Amino acid sequence: MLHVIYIRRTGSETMTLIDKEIAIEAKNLKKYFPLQAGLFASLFKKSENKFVHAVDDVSFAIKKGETFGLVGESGCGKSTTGYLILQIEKLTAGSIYFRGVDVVTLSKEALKEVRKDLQIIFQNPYESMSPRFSILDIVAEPLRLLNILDDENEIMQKVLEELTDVGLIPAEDFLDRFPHELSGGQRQRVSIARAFTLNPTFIVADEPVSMLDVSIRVGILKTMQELSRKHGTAFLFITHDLALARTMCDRIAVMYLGRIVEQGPTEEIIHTPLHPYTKALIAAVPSPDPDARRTEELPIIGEVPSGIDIASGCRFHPRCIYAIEKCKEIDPHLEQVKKDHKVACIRYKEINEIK
Amino acid sequence: MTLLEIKNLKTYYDTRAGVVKAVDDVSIKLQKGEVIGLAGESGCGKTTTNLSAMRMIQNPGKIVGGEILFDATSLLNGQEIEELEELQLNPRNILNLKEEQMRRIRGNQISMIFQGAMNALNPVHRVGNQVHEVLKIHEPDHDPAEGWERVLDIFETVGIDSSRARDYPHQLSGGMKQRALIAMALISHPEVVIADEPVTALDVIVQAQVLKATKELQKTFNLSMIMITHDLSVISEICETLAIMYAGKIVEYGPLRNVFKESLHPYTKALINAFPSIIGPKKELEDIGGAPPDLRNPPTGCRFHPRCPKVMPICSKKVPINTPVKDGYVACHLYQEDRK
Ligand SMILES: Nc1ncnc2c1ncn2[C@@H]1O[C@H](COP(=O)(O)OP(=O)(O)OP(=O)(O)O)[C@@H](O)[C@H]1O
Ligand SMILES: Nc1ncnc2c1ncn2[C@@H]1O[C@H](COP(=O)(O)OP(=O)(O)OP(=O)(O)O)[C@@H](O)[C@H]1O
Ligand code: SF4
Ligand code: SF4
Ligand SMILES: [Mg+2]
Ligand SMILES: [Mg+2]
Repeated sequence: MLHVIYIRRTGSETMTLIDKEIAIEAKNLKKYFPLQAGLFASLFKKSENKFVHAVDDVSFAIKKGETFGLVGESGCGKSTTGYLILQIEKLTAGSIYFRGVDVVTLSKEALKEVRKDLQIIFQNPYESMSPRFSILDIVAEPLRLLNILDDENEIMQKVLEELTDVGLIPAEDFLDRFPHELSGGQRQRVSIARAFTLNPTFIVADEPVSMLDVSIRVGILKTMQELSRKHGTAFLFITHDLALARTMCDRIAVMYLGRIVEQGPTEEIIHTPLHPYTKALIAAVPSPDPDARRTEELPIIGEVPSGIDIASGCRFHPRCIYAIEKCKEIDPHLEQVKKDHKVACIRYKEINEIK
Repeated sequence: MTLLEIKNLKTYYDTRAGVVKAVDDVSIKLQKGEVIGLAGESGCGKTTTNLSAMRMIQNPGKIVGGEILFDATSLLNGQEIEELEELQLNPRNILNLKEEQMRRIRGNQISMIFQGAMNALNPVHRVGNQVHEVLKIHEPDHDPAEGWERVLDIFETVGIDSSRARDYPHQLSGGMKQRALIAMALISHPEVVIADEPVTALDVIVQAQVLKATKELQKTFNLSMIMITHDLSVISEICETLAIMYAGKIVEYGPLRNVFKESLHPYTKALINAFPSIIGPKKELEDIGGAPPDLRNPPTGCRFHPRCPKVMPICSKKVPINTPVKDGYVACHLYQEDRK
């Protein structure tokens, strides 16, 4: 799909027209999980159908080769958003545009074709691979499942290449091993190899290193970056770690209770966050530098509420230190502030002294 | 004043696949009111070190060497002290105490917030009662009504509304559960608190809130603490002294600023460079390369040598000793006289 956007050159009145190819675009994604009957039935009246608003109207477009970060606290809907895009979870509402078509409308056969280009790396390398499959079979699975290659020799060659690319060297030594014979870091490298086997356009990386130790993390992240550069792969990089998002992502979207509340270029989000929630999130990140210790009070009230009874108006208002009466009524949507920088807050101008 | 001293501690796990040298000659000196951070990667022996200090190592683990010096003689009677002295055993080395004597110290003078304990709270008992239980063990003679008042007080102190004391664990958020654990560790006014990854499972905002509460409590009660974590950023927020552990040994030890800003040990430097930060200019993360060793069969000489960018011939041959540096020490041949 060809996207056309206008940008204004600084100091000049000319409007430049450029084309940007979008790898994938999510539009108004929603996922409401019904609360389990039985467990909660006793708590709520029968007539009341309660839902967890896991993802509640989320839209973004990821450019080709770009790493787009999705950050926020536990339960804000990051993983669900990733699963929705890959159709691992069924959408409650919304569209996902890939190569100009809404993949939600595709037939099973057509979807299979698209699947090649959309892959995922899961958070937990222990759960994401079958313990009875050898490493060869795990990495070859997408090739076989989608009938890309049928010659076993070719499959093996391809797998060897992939394993070498992710730094599992000598690759031959890994083919016949099983997941439990690998370290956590090695297993995560296998997941990366598998995700890259089909040379996908787009990968969802759901907390790919959060289970791993720092000394192993960096190697894995570098491998992902190199492969992404080599193949021009776009990433949805899901993490709760803002410092990590900073090193990995070109742009960042901050989620709160199923919504994106702010989105923009990484350094801009880190240095000049506009939304009160982003400000709090950044202020809360501990710094390894003893000279940068936090001293001030965190600019936020209390803890994350459940995603069941969403607050009226701005869903952040019960925790917002800038909230006024109007915030309880108006549900703010993302508004363009600067090129590529959007924020969902009715008071962002006053708070940030923007004219 | 030194309150707790771990001296040349060795704790090994005798497993079928071999002996895991989880803690191998570790020394830590904790002063009154001091907060020491113990940092290092998963499996380097942080938990084992501190469980040893509490004498809580379970089979197949065993303390095979060293001393844990802590003056708990006020909890022993004259006869018990005499008995120990007759056997020429130092009553201040708690490794010499009987298990029954040790039980008087645990939770009372030294208490520990266990790794992952948030999930170990008993789901069928109210959190307040669980905290009260701890008090009952250490002060069996206290008045129950007064005890409950103390429970409510300590809840407020750690930042939980005391009305929540009657809640069950599942009714509390992760942050509140972690605070309840801190309450449990503090209720009998210990002198030393060992906190094992107290904020690891928490989200960043809650983590910041709990850390802040911990810092305030530490100041208020002038607590001496050992704070264990694999996350260096958490340590910088709360500790004055930093100990970096690698593969069962402390490789660098000293005031936080020195260890951080003027790190000497190649592993400390590598670890710091592997941590992303949101402060300051964006930096490229540096890969340490390789992986931590298998402690059943650790590398000879310096255990970091297979991964060390500064490795020298002597490094694989000789174990580096602790070389004193500004208010601390470093264990690396680069700082030893005989490195040729
Ligand atoms: N299958 C499901 N059934 C019911 N509720 C669900 C299901 N999956 C997720 N949820 C709920 O949806 C919300 C969003 O969950 P999600 O896993 O997307 O969050 P997340 O941001 O990835 O969190 P984390 O950082 O903990 O991984 C949470 O409240 C979660 O409990
Ligand atoms: N019960 C046990 N039996 C055998 N080996 C053990 C046992 N407990 C720990 N170990 C081993 O001892 C070493 C040190 O473990 P320890 O739990 O002290 O590390 P840690 O630094 O606390 O790690 P983490 O950050 O993962 O909590 C590891 O190699 C571990 O595998
Ligand atoms: S809309 Fe109001 S409550 Fe919401 S973030 Fe902005 S100021 Fe806070
Ligand atoms: S002793 Fe040698 S191998 Fe070990 S850290 Fe120092 S220089 Fe590196
Ligand atoms: Mg998730
Ligand atoms: Mg541990």
